[in-house]
Amino acid sequence: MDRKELSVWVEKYRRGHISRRGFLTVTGIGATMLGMGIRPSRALSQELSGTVTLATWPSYQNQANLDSFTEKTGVSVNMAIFGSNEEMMAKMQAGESGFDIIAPSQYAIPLYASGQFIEPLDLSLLPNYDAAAVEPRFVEQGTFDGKTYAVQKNWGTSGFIINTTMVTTPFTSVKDYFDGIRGPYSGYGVALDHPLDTVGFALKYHGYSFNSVDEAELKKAEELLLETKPHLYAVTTDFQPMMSSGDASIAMGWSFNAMQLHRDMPEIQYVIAKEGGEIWCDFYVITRNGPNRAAAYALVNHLLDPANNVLEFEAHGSAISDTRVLALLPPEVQTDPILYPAKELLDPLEFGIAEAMSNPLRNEIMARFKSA
Amino acid sequence: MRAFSLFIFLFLYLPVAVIVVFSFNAAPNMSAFTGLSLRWYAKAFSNPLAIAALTNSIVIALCSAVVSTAIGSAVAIGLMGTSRTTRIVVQSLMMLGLAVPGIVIGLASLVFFSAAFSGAEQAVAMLAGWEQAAKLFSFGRPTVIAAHSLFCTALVVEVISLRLRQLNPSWLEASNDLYAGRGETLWRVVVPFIVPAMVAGGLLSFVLSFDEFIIAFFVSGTKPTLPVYMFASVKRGATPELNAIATSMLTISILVSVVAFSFLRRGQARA
Amino acid sequence: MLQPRMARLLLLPGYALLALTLIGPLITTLVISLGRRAPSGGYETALSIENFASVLSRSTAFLNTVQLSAFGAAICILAAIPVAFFIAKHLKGSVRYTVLFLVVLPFFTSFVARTYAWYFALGGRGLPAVLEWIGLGRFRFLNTDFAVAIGIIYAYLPIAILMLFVAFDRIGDDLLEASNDLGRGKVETFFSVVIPLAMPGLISTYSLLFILLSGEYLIPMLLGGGKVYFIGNAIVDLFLQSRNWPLGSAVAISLMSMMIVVAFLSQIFQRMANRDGRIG
Repeated sequence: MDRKELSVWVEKYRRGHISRRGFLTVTGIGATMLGMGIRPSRALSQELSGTVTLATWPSYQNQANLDSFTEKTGVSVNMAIFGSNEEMMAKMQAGESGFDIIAPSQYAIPLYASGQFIEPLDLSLLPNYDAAAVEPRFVEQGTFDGKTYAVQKNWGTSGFIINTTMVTTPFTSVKDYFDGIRGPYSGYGVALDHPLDTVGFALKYHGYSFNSVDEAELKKAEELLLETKPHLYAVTTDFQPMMSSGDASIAMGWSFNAMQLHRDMPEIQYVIAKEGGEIWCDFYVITRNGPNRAAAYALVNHLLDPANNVLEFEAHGSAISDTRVLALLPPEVQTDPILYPAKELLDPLEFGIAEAMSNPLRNEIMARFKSA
Repeated sequence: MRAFSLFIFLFLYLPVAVIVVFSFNAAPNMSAFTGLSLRWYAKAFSNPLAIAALTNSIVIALCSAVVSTAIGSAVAIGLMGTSRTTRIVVQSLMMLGLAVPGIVIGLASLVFFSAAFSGAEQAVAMLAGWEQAAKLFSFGRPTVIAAHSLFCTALVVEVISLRLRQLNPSWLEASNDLYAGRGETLWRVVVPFIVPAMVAGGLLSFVLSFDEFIIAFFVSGTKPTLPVYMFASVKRGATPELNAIATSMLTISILVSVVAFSFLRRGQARA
Repeated sequence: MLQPRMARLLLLPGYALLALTLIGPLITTLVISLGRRAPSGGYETALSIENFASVLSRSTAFLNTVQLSAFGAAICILAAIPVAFFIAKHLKGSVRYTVLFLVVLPFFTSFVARTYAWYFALGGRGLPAVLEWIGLGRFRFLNTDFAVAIGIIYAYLPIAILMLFVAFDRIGDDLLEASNDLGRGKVETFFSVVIPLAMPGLISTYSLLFILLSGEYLIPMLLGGGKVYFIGNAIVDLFLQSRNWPLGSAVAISLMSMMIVVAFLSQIFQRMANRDGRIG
């Protein structure tokens, strides 16, 4: 930060546009104080005020943690709920700047970072974050341009959810999905209304990368999708009611969908395809121009406290990689095949990437698939 | 004809029955009715997000109704005294406001407002001599109310214009002879005459604004309205909690409607 | 009868509202439609009409929409005619307004919730289960044109009934009696007197329904499950999923142009029907 920029911030602080904590954070004075062993913790946490806004997914946070944060700091927490990463990004790109924290998946992070929507995290303000406790592959997904932009929230996989009373043939692969739907289970299959996964799995069927943007490969994926379309029951992310009513027997879906369905109906099971598929991870990131930056750091730090993170797990039911949290969870959680699949199943999975998410051809294929 | 009408009524009320019945269901999903329970109401009303969204929606719908009834009445009356060209232009624009797809007006409003906001902020900073523009405006209830007022006002203008066509011009002449100013004619004759239409228009505005999803999705800022909240929830697996919220919404709508309709009918009886 | 100065004053807030919430956003849409999709999605400044050429890539959705909207609006009208006529000509006094109120009442509940209720009513544990239990065989309704048509008719029927009620209400009872006196039966009177007289109202109701239906996207999304795809869905996907705003804006402008043409045609037909009605 140069002198001129600093003087702007000093001016802002003087006029009360940012809080003292925010001022210290932005100018790096806070970090310097920490470096000198001056801990601003107690005195400064009382400086927090106002409201902090978290943009996240439905049923994804534990209200108890938000309440305890408000009790501790006096900052009230507001939540905005989104249905997909793409929707959230569309709103941010159109000019919404009221969110302090958002919870994107890994493939959205490079787009937010390169678009200057989020900032590299000041890890000194997140003492509860321990990168060493998180699996390196997830840490890596939160890094862009060598800087940490995101801390891990929870992770999961994309695969296939089948009703075993209706699907009686062995089901282990992407081939079984597309061939089964075009064969014996015609009219009972569901594809996700999500370009990354649906086009990705069609690519995997032909043995290509889940993230391919190669035109020839995408052409073959499109052919498969268009051939499958008449046999599908639906293309939607809201397939849980269809699965529980028996209207559908095979759905492409996410592990948290599978967890919820399996808990209510044990005959519904989750299959990670042997060819591979997607592994995903949701993060907390802090927006660059959010209205309450100081409280944003405090809230993320609060949620990353291992004891609180256990409560988070209870609310969202997705896998957490932080070893400090795992130590506090009952041992059977870590052997749950839906939450923590065997290593040989996880190894072929790929993280969805930003290029695949925003590739125009992949999105056009999805549009043609849906209108077919 | 009577039997057919009865069938149509059954058709109209079937989904309402589904919502109400399943809001009292004990089962964790909607695949079967297993017994009576109030658990979804308990869950819905202990969910601060749902409550905040419901409050937000009620406030927005009320304000949209008041704003669009006021502007819409003024426009409808004003149109009686303008040139044919002005009338056609204003009426066509109002029709366009009703016909333009919500997704377009929603996203475009977000882009347009945020550009306008930052322009205004820059201007304020320049005038005040600040080095950097401060954040003065943000999205929230006022922006949703403004955006909803467009289609609500269009509707109010339509309803009130219909009523004004029934106004007997000789009354206005008589009134002009009786009272000194024309302003007084407006206030004593025209306004009372359109009160029932104002109530009907305001009621319709309330309902339309309360239900509107896609425009609110874009311009509601960080505080979702109830339809926005419900729609996002549905996308990741619905729970019967939504039925409890919907039944509560239904009850509110009925109460508001009954009050407004009885008011409307009293107004008509007097007219 | 109203001073021009007073009229201008009364119109002022209306102008402000139109400028702020319609003209501004519409110009924004036009500017976006001439731009280019940024590499990471959204909008990037450019000046080309390329997006309007790409609108053709959504022609299947356009066709779907026009077909189902034309059909849905027709069914709405056919279902609404007997009900509206019954209320307008067979019910009197307060009963009449109470019944009208009951028509509108379900309309005053949440649109998302109502449409979602159909999702369950038409799903495997709903109507199909009832039909199977009666012994009519196995049916599947969800995610078909049929389900979307039901949803559409359901959502727009109250509007159709209200508008047709106004159209029938205007026809004097004396006309119907005179026709009966001339020896025409009730059915004949209905087709030779009532329908021609109500024709302008029928046309304006049909065109309004058609315009509203062709912008619909929530009903096809919830009840069509991605199997029925409207132009409204294509626009929503272009804005919220592939984030190709320029193409989305171009498609939207094309849709609005179609709506304006329909509204214009409806005006012409109404005038023609008015003339015919007078001659007949």
